[in-house]
Amino acid sequence: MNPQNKYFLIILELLFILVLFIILPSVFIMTRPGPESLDHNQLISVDLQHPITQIILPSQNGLNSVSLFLKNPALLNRQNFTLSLKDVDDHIVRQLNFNGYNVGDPNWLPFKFTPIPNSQNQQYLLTLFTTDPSINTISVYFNNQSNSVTYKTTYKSMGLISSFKTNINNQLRLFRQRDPLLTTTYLTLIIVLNLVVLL
Amino acid sequence: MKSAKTLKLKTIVALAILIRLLVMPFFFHPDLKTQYFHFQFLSQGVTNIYQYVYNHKSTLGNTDTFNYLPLTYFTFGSYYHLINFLHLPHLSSWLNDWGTYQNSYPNLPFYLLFLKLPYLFFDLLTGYFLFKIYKNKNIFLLWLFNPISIYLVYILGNFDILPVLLTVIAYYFLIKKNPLSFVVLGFAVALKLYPLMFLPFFLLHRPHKLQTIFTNIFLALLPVIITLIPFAYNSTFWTSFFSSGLTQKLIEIRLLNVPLFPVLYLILLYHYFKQQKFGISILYLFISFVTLINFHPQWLLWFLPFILPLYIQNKKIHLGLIILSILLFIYISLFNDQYLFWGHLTPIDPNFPNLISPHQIIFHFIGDNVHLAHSFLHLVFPLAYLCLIRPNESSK
Repeated sequence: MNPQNKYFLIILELLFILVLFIILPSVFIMTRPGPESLDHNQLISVDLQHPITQIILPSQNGLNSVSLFLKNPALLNRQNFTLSLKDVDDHIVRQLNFNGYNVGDPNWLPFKFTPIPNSQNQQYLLTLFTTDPSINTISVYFNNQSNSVTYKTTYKSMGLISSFKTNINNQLRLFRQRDPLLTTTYLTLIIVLNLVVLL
Repeated sequence: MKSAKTLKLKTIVALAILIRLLVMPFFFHPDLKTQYFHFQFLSQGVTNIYQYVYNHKSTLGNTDTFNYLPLTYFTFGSYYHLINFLHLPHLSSWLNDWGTYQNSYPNLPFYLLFLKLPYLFFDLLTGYFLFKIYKNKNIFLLWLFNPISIYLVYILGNFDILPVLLTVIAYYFLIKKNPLSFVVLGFAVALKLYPLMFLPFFLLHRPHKLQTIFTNIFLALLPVIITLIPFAYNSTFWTSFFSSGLTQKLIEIRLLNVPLFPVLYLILLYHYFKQQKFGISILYLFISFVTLINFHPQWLLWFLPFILPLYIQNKKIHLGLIILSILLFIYISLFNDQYLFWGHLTPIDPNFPNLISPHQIIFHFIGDNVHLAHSFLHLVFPLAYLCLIRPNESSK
């Protein structure tokens, strides 16, 4: 292979790695999953006397959604509900009003909001309550072992640089978690093939 | 391509392997996982996968039926059994994990690499046989370095490359007038039914006598019959097999209630009988197929080895392939399947499948008309062919 083509091949490979591992995830994946609790073993009803609360502790800045796994048996409930996120000073940070009509049997209720810039390691209290009396209630999935309702959160990267940093950390974490023997064998194979092509 | 012509064979093959090894681990489609989810049961001693899936539906992580033929199960099941000895960390857990964290396995790229490894062998061998058939180095180069087959084999990761290889070998034997051709084609059919489409073309290859045709039909059906006999009386097998939908799709588009594809197929067969131009006939078959059938992108691979050589003989090759690649890319992007766009990059980041797909964006603006746009593309394929990428018709 002539020297010009050698450089072209190396540049092409580097570009492939750069686009695949750095540019695409950094530019396009702006929303990533945050803390969550997905296991459940019981249902808890939400009614006038029994609001549901859950502490949320985001690991990143930019918390932008909390989703709850709810059940509206036979889709009978039509109550008005409020889902609020309060900070440690009991100030309402974000709030969502919804109707039992919006809850499936069961489904995830997404509570999406404008990202909270400094959410990292801040404690928030998620409260689900109703002011309407009703015979047909909705229920929240709950795990009595971890003492947590079933929820998931997402956070949005605050700009491209933040997304770039998150992606780099993510790629490094994945790289470290991969089997070292397989990684070494694969990389050696790639290097050997490059040498065969280039020399 | 010009510079590639001057390269040594060793360098060409090394470069082809290098490109494939860079693609194989980092692109994913769940079809590969679903297939190996079923293939893995052979190493657990399951010989009737159809009945096993039916009996254990309630306890299996994936409830899809196994819609492929028994030989496919035994071939790739044996390969899975073989790589089991390597003890790839958590491979079995990943295959059986269909939950929230199924895409978060850090060793996912290596699972994909190992599961696609046989395809590399079949792919290179296909290139080798194309070279033997057409005796043209450019065809070998075109097979190895065209983005369409790399996408279909290593990104979609379907096993179709094995029946494709067998069909190419069968064609090689056909032009060498070796009756083994029909046995090999039979094995291809025993893996996936589609090579049956090529069987009449093979049978009508000159010189042909009625007695030879019947002998060849018998030879072609022999592997299929042998591999199907143990399942012949198993209703679960027939139910699973016929739920794949290809047969239905072949007769879907009708004019005055007459299915168009079978009619065109017969016309093309007659044309081939008269003209004996195999490549051109397969090209027309391909054009009819992409126009009249709601095809899955992976099915394009069936025709590719026979139509690529046509483009080598004229100067429109680059334009033709670029247009075909762009059309294919648009067609694939419009599928309502997260894993046919961003989802391919799952091994890079498991959050890719959550990104909005082109289908969803277009759906947002034009609603259900997105299906019309998809149908429109079916017409664009033959139009693009007629206007821009028509190859040299004089070639055989």
